[in-house]
Amino acid sequence: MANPIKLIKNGIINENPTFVQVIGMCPTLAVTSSAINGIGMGLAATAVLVFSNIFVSLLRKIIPDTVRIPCFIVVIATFVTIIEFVLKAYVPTLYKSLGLFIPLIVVNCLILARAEAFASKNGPVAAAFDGIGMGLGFTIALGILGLVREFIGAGTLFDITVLPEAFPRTLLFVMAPGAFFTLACLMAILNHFRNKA
Amino acid sequence: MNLILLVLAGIFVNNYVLSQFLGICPFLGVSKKVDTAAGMGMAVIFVMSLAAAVAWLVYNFILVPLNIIYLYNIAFILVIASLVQFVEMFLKKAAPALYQALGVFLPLITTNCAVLGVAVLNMQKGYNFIESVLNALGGAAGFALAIVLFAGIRERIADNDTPKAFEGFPMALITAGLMSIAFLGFSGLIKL
Amino acid sequence: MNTKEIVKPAIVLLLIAAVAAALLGFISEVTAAPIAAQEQKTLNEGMMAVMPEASSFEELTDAEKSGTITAVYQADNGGYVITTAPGGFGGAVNTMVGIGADGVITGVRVTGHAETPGLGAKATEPAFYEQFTGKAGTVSVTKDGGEIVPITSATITSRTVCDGTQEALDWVAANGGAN
Repeated sequence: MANPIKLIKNGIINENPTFVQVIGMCPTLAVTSSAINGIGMGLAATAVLVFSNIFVSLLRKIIPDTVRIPCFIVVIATFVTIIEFVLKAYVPTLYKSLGLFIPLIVVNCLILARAEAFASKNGPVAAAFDGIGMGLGFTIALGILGLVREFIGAGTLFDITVLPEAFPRTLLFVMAPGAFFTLACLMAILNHFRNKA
Repeated sequence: MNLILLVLAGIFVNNYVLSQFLGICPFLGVSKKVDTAAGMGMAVIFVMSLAAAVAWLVYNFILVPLNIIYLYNIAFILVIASLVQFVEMFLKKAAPALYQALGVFLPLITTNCAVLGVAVLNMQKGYNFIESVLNALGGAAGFALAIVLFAGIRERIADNDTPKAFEGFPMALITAGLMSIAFLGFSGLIKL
Repeated sequence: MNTKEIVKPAIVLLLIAAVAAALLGFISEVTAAPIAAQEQKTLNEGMMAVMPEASSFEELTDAEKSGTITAVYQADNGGYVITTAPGGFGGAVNTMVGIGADGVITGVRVTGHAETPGLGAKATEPAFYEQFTGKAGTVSVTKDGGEIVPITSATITSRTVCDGTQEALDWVAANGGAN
């Protein structure tokens, strides 16, 4: 059985879903206008990912190959809907700010990709740790993006004002184009260090 | 009149890719060449309009009467997945060349969040059948426009020197960001 | 392909879907009450904010809704709380307006919007919405000859909130006397 720590590290660093695999881009760009939203989205996706990984892994011997994708999708959609209800009932503010992107976790390529590439070939424990690692990697990436955009665009960190009122805010960064630019720069910085190494 | 505005708003003002961030995966993945981008755009227009229509029928004639609205997410995604399968089989027979070109990307339409997104948005906004289909058509046309323009720019960039660290995805993202600024100019033009 | 190869996958898929549906039915039952409670709580907090003097509200379900008015509530002190959804810069701007029995605005809040962050989104800040309190008759931004100072660089959003508020004022002027 694979080493849990290795699996988690793999998800966060070696195969970081956002910076290395470049999948699950829609929520990455859409909800990161603030750090809280980014982390909230990351954690919601992590929860779905862990549960769907476990169940796909448990069912991997029962599910016939021909209908495996529809089966995975049903499993994923079920957990997404559960998360949607839970957030709506207990964290309505987060539910409101993530909006449409909660039901859209279903089509986050990250989750289906892990079901197909990892969970359907490994045991439930390894699949759970893979889910945790990938989920955390995703959450951290979204958190960093949200932090940078919130700081430059609104002068706040986690809704607390850190830049003096007189300092101009670059509003563009909390709008759509800022999402593209911030991610581009973060990836370029990572590439730079990788090229050097 | 309003219906025309709905389509125009989908193409320019609320462009799914550049202002709503729906369908980013195929937007980044299938945009290295203009012809494949155009093929993908056409496929999305077709699948998305069809999916919106079927999803609307499923929602209003199955989910609502049976009082099982909470199954909407599963129902929509299954509708889309089967539709994509159908389109794939159809293309394989009717247009093998296009099928070859799109290759692995056709199944990816299933996980194009714009397709599911438009179905969910139509439901949330309570659009009627015609509005739903036109909203999907406009949104998909906007996607096609964005991806074809984007591929055109990327083809040019591919022949030029870019800073080493920015090669590949970062450069593509910067390009998308600049296009997004351009499309920002349309915002607020149409009130719905 | 023989029948077994078709039947088995179909049955498995059907079973998984059935289990998923049953599970979701259960979860939706369990969370229905908390979700309704949360929605009610948000609504009540909003209504208390726009009409602090009232203590209970009742929805007038058969009220005639004109324009973008989405709901009308009657307060126990004779006032009305009206929710409207006029079209703004980035979609509908959900505006909640409290109007006293005398036709004077007791408060305005923007409860949901998709306006530009940092610009139109400032409509949710007190500096903007408190201008409405105490106004009556007609409201419009200074550019249109009114008294509401629009948010800097977000005249469209400011105008939209005025439009929503105006609809509420007009509704009370037209229907308020009946009660």
